[in-house]
Amino acid sequence: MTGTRRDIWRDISLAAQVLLAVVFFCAPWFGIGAYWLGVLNQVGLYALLALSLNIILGHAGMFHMGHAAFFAVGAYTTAILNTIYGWSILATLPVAGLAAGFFALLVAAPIIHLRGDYLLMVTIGIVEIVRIALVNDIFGLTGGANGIVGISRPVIFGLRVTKPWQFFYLIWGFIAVTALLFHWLENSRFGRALNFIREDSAAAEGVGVNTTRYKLMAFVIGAVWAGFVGTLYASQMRTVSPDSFNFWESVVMFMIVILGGSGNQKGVIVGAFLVVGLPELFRGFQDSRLLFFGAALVLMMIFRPQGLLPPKGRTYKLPPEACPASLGRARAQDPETV
Amino acid sequence: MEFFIQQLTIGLAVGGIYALIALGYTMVYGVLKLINFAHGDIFTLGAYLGFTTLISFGLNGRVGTGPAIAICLILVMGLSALAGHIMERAAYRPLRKSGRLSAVVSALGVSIFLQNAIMLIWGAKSLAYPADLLPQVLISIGGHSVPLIRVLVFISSIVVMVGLNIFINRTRTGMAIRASAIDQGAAKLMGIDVRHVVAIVFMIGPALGGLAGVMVGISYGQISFSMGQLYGLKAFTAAIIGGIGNIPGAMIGGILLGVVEAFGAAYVSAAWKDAITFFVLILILVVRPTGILPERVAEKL
Amino acid sequence: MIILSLNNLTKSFGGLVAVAGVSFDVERRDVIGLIGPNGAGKTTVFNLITGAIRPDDGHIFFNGHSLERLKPHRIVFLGLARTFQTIRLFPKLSVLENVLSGSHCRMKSPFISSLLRLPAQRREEKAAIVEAMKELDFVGLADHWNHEAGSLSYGDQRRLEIARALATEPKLIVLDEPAGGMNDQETFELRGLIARIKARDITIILIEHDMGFVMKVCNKIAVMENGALIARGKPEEIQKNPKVIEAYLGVDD
Repeated sequence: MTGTRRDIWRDISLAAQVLLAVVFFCAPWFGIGAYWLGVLNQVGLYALLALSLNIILGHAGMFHMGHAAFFAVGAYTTAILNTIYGWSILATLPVAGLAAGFFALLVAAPIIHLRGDYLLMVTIGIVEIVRIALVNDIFGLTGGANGIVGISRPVIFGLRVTKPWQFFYLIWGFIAVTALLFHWLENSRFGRALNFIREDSAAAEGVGVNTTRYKLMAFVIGAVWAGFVGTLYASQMRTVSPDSFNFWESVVMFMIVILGGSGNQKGVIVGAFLVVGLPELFRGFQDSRLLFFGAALVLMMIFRPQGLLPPKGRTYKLPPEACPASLGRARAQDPETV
Repeated sequence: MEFFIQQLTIGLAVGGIYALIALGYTMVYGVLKLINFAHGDIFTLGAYLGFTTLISFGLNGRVGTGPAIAICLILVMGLSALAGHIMERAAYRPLRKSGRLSAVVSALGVSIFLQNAIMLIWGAKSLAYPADLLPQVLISIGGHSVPLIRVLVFISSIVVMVGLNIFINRTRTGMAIRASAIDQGAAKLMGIDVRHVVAIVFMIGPALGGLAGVMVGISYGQISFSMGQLYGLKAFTAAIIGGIGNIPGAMIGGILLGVVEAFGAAYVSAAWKDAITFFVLILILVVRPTGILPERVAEKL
Repeated sequence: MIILSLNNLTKSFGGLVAVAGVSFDVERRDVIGLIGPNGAGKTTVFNLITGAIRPDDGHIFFNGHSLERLKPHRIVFLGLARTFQTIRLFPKLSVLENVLSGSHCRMKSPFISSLLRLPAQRREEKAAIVEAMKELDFVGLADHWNHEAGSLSYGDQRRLEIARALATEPKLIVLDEPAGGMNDQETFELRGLIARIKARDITIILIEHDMGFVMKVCNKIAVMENGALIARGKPEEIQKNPKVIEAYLGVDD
């Protein structure tokens, strides 16, 4: 009987979530104004970045504080291709992703085997090196400390995306697609391998899982997605500068994943609302928000290390021939075991 | 040649500071196997506390410069030690049994908290130490003119490090620290109160960090609430170079890094100076994580 | 027929020689017991065989493959599985999922197929679940399939680790102290389990300190002391070997 009660509760919860999502997607129609739409867009971009970091940090368990570097590579790729070579934003999207992914492969390959806290320090070093390279106008393409300006807007099916409400649908639509794809990823064999690696990397290797390959794949996938977000960001802001891609941005993304629930997509999105959206609601809170979140991280680790919404374990359904009872019967009938 | 000597002295002075900060990282790591992410921010705290002590309390005006600095240093080191102790009790001790990952995130949280607390208390703009604190004279060493401050900073670092070395090697507490760093379990069996050792380490390390902060304020003048990040990362690099957990290694690594960095900035490129340092960090962690100094203790697998 | 061959295997850590020129052969369907006092280097030999560490010198041949340069997951793929001295399960995952981690290396579906849950991949997954449940049944844990692995008793966790290793479809399995922490009843059942593993044409090498267990279960024994192999042979011979007795009990003065 408790089974049915649990099912009913789950159905209600699911219905409520769907309803919330529908209401949310109608937000521009509720007249909330350009400012708050802008806030929702910001939340959305951070949510996307955190979702991509979630693959690396939440699923594979790798301590990555350099995600802003991949974001930067994507954003600058779009900026350069668009302003110097006149590419359309949409055309730069795949290239930005690929560039970020390739960069991640290059950078992650030598460090992939490092232990947690060392990996953390190295990724900090990487994001700083990228930022310094951008400021120093590497290859003469990045515009130095001022960055690149005058990036165009995206044009989708002939429609130029300029207004906040248009970006709202672009960004949150992208989130919906991302969430679905990553959900499939989580439940695939790849996702399962990442779980094993996160739980105990040496044991996973000892059971035949090619940990190096999967860790690299996680890094690359996360990076490619961060690259895509870079394109979105560049075309929304129309400017990119090194300051937007510093270590602290990585920290915010990291915080969103850890506080929201590493490994749980819904948790990550909730985390984005908390970390980015909440300070907007309480203006006076703005300056001290990082103070609050720093303390929150400590308290979270002490009292609820899994985050607000911890990842749900995977459920399996046994095919009939694999049920313990059937197996017992099969064993009893097997002449070899008698 | 003159240029070379100048760069060398610059490198030695800043290297001494890196060494002092690196000692904090290495001592904590040795005993807890934890990278205290927030250590760089204790360094910043020290710089700001020094500022407040010297300027806000008008210490500089009331007593002579010598005593003022001395009182300031003692006060800052004491307060930094206290801060370190509070940090350990509040954020690390509850997580002792929780595994390394939680401790790392918690350290990160403390770092964020501390940095922003400093910003809120003292403001976001960078502050300046009084420029006339110490005489801005040049003294002559071997025929070369070197700023007095630079020499004093270096000598102070060396004195402190020698003192620490004596403490670690000749006192019972120092021995307890060394034993805990090698094997906590065995140390406990030998009757060493490891919790006590951890508490001590979290006072000495931060005290040195705070001291370094004041020294930076005095010698460079400008302090900002985010300076701990850069200095912290570089000091961590120094600790890695010397072999993390290795106390003399941190000292040597710090000075080495300072000198290499100074020469790199002067002869190679100033704009890329920091990038080069981080690159060195990555390189060492990838190629020889035990540090470039010869291994002192056989690694147990 | 020789399935595993160790040739002058040597490994040092810093100044300490952990394994000094160890050589021995393992034949198919052997149950070899590797014994010796603590610190003799037994687990190091296991770590060398399974690829967790690289030897300084010497060769390891398994089924025609040279193992010294291979990574652990590759060695598992070739048919050599292991369990760990300190149990290394995935404690927060379910018992079934733990065993499925062993099946992972045998599943062949490409990435896209797995991502999109194409029919072929779903069939493969279903087959893997059935096989995993069979291994759980084999070790007697089928009823616990949905429990959290960390909630199992110590003895059950050891059996789970064995089920996980069996899921990799090994030809040779290396067990590091499988009876560790087990009471008499569990040890007795373990003996039966080992016999049944052997009946599946899987060769077994195990490290154990329980001498009664080792003497009853193994058909050959190798004794190590201070990194070197000091004796080899049948259980009865080893029990009477003076060097072995000296290694364990010391010499009467």
